Amino acid sequence: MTILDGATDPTRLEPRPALEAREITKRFDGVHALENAGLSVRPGEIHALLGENGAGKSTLIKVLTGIYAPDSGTLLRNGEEIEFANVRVANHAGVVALYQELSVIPSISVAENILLGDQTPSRGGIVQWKTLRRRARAQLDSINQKIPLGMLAGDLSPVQQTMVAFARALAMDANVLILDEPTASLTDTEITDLFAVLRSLRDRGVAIVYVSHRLEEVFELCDRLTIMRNGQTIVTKDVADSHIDEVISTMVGRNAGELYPDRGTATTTVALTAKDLDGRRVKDVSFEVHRGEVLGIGGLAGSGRSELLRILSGAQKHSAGEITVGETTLPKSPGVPRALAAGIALVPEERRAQGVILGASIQDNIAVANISAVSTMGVVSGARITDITTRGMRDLQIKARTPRQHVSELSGGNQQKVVLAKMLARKPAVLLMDEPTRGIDVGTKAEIYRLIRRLAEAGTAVITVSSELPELIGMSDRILIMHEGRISGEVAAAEADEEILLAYCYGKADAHDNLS
Amino acid sequence: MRTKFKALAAVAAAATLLLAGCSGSSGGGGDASGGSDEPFKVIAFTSGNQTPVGAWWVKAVEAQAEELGWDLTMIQGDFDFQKMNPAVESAIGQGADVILDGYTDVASIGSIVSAAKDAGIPIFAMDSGTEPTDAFAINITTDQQGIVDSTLGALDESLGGLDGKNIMVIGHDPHAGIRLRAGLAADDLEAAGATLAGGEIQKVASPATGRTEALALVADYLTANPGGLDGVWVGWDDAALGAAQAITEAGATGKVTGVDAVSESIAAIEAQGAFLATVEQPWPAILDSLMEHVLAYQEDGTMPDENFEAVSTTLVTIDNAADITPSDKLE
Amino acid sequence: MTTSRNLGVEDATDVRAVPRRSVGQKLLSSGTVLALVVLILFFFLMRPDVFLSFTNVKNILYQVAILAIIAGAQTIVMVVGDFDLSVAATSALAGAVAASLMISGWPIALAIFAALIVGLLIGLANGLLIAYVNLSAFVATLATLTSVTGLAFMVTEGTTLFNLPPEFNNLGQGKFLEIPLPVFIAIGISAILWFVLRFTTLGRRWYATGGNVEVSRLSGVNVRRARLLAFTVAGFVSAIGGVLLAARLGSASAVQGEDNLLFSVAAVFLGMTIVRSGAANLVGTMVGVAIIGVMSNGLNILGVNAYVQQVVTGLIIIAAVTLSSLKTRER
Repeated sequence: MTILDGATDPTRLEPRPALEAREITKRFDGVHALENAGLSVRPGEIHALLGENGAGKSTLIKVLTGIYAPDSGTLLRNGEEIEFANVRVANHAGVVALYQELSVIPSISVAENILLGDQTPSRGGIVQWKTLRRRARAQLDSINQKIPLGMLAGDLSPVQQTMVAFARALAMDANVLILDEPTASLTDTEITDLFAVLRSLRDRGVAIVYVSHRLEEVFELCDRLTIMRNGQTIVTKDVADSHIDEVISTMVGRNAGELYPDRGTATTTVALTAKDLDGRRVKDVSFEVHRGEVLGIGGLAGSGRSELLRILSGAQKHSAGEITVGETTLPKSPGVPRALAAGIALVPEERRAQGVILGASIQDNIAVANISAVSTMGVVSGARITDITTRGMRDLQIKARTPRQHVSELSGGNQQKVVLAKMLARKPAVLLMDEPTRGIDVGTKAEIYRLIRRLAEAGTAVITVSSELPELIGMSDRILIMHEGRISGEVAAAEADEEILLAYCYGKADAHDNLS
Repeated sequence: MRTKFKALAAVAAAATLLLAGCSGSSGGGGDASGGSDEPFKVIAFTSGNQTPVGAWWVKAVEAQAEELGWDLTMIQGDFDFQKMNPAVESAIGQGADVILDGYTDVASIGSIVSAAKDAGIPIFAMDSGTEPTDAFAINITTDQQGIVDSTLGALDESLGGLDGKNIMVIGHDPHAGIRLRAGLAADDLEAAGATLAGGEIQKVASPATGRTEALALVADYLTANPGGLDGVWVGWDDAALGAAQAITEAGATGKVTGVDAVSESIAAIEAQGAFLATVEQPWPAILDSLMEHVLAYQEDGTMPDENFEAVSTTLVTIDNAADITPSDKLE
Repeated sequence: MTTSRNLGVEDATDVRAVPRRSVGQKLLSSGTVLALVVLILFFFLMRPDVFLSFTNVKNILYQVAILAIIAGAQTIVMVVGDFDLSVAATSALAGAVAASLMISGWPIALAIFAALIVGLLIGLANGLLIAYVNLSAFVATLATLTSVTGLAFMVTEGTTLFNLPPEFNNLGQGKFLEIPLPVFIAIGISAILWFVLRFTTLGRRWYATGGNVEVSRLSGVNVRRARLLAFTVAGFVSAIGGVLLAARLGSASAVQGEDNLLFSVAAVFLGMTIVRSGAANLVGTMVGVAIIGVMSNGLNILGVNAYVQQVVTGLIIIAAVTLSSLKTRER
């Protein structure tokens, strides 16, 4: 158990912060990323750091962990001024940040990952394997994880890798942990386990900074929260004294009720018909979507929603059934180009892997998806690329320095917008979207909802899959729920509420009657 | 004085071109002592400057040029035809009286031959092919059949006859001379009633690793056929030394012959182990003979009567090893 | 009750568990080891009287001893996530330096020491260029390879140096208990490298660096120093290989052992297919070396000509690596 300097009795009124940042200013190229920003986290608390993308959260974190040196302001560790020359110094001082991608070295064992580098027990240059295994086990036990020490870290699930990263941080005697979106790809069970570990760490006196877009989680887990906006710290409050809507409006600087735009009226013209579709999981799915309509599709994991979208987009074969777009019936395995030509475009779930070319610039990404629109007889026209890109960036309000900026440097929300821009330049008849706002901050989410609505108003039929029921209700005109490959329920969004939808998710077809 | 400057300027121009094209080439300048206004311009090239004989040839030609007051451009190819051929062609473009080819097979210099023909410059060559060709004014090389006759003769004598003997022949196809003599040796052995070990000529893939390849080849053969190898005929000394080492290490009794008469093989012959004989190719004498033809041409434009000459060689055995100058020690 | 959070995410906790396997299971399930076993069986069935005999096994070990050492050097560099194209050139230069010094009269031990220092310095140069000047390993070692080969040509004056002291040659040609010394030396060096990689903090830092540079750096591994050391060690070990090769052949040339470069890379890649993590590893490299040695020897014994051997070698490497990648995809 770590004994902390300045450890406090949590019942004292103003405990000395484990880590504090005061009046931090940081400029890049003359632009203020942080202006008088601050954060104060106490030992034995879970403190949420909230803000839209671009609010300055990650810059502040980098200052806290020694990646950036602030232009002005002070850092205090247990009440004493301190400077972090680099990350190693910060780590030695017990401040460790954990990121999703950078957590483990996949090609070596769990035990070695926990006691890496400076921490590896050795005598005269020879690794003491028994000691290493013993200490690694001890760290894992202290957070109640039964991960086998000999497994390669690359074989672990994402949450297990996060646990290993925790164990490593604890092995370094870290008592300030900074977590960046730790629940992004975790299942419910894994999230519960993670929260249990976090709570036990908190009870041991560790200070935890929790950065997340998931407000429900924040309200469930955290003790206090700090909201940033435009590089400044706006407010710090106890979670118990806060309310979600108020937090959202503080974050975006406007009324939270405006998150979802008004619904529209769909036309009666059918844009796409699916009849008796069969896939691996998908069974006997038939439905229609109209021009100008936003159709939301929900369901539990494994219900076949993503597969349905992939079938519709041509990325996956269906074994039976028919898809008709306008007048054209697509053949059995149309393939994506065919489907695209027929007017069906897909914005995929994994934008980093499937949606954008990270290493390329914005305009290159857009050009690639619209190569025939920007070229004549095989020769690409620079002017047309610039034209399409500028229009896309303006329409979608993509925040970037220039169209030539690399997509990998953009925030998640802006990356998603690039994906949208790619697809929109083609003016599809049917736009399929799989989890369009995953990992995106609230402000950008609102923009994307508005964009989707605008698209629908312009005549596109939009089909979106989402795991967040409030989002489904807020953005759709009509909702279909899938259960075990079939459509188990259909509701007009205006009449839907989460309980009904959830019931359909579990296949309780008579739910509606029971609840009335 | 002006001629000296002109010579230097010509050399500087050629040298700049060559520096762009190849490494290790030296732009030699001739001293215009001797009264003629325009020194005799000579382009000399070899692809084999990384071999001892090639290196010797470069030095020898440069020495001759110095002595005779020639304006010499020497291009060393490092076995890289992609680099050498354009360099030689550029030099031809600058104009020359005569071209000298050392140890560079005519098959690899097609573009140089065309350029020379177009410019009307004769090529005097040594060891640059195994057959007459009108690409050259003259090509003086060694008599491959003679080489084969003498080495097989040595084997015959040592083994008490070739009939019924199992002999391995090791060759290397990319080298024209070795390819020809290996083929001749195989034919003659079979005609004499011997069997080719392995059923065919054993090929070495790369001259750089020839010694280790031959070593492994013979060692493995001996393991697979203990006591079954009477002799090894090898197309060149480096690989022959590898074969001999394999035989010695295996404690077998075969005899090995090579070609080239490098100092290491002469020492091996004198040690009277598995290495039986090699062949001295009289390069200095051949160079002298070639130079006579060049000088005759320089004098009054006389071309040689024939465009091909095969000169006889000397077998090197224990009897005369001490008297032979090794080919890697030529002055 | 709050709404389910991530409706979309598969509950993968059941699917993820990878069963532990015993060492034997691990080796056998690898396509590469299977390939080696199949090769051995094949050649044994073709020539049961010869293939697994003591002499032949000894020959195989002898033939791959030097390659094993060079491949060991390459393994270290590939563990760190780079590769070294100059290993064979460094070995040739080291052999040439040792030979040249001994011929000029230096005591053997001193000459060998100097050769090893040369190798170490070349490795150091590589490491500095790559770890500190941030050149890509490909570019830096390619450049080193070219310059070092040039140096080797200079040291050997373009010929093959020989006439080395018999005590020196004995290192490469002597035997202990009827097994050639280079085999013991290769085993010794491999064992040391294996130990360093597996048990020392240095070796673990190398693995960490090769696995993920960022995480390693953040955990206090001096990544630059690790890479510098890896290349320095590789240069040193390559020099050992070169000195041993010179002793084995009793001679040193600038291009001796050239094919060890490609074979060493092939061996390490073959070895990488054997472990689950896909990282370079010493035992795997030795399996790769064994495959190369068995194939060359077996094909020699069967009398397959050299060109066909090259084609077959390439195909077998492709087959082994493909088999392994298919198995990985199944997981």
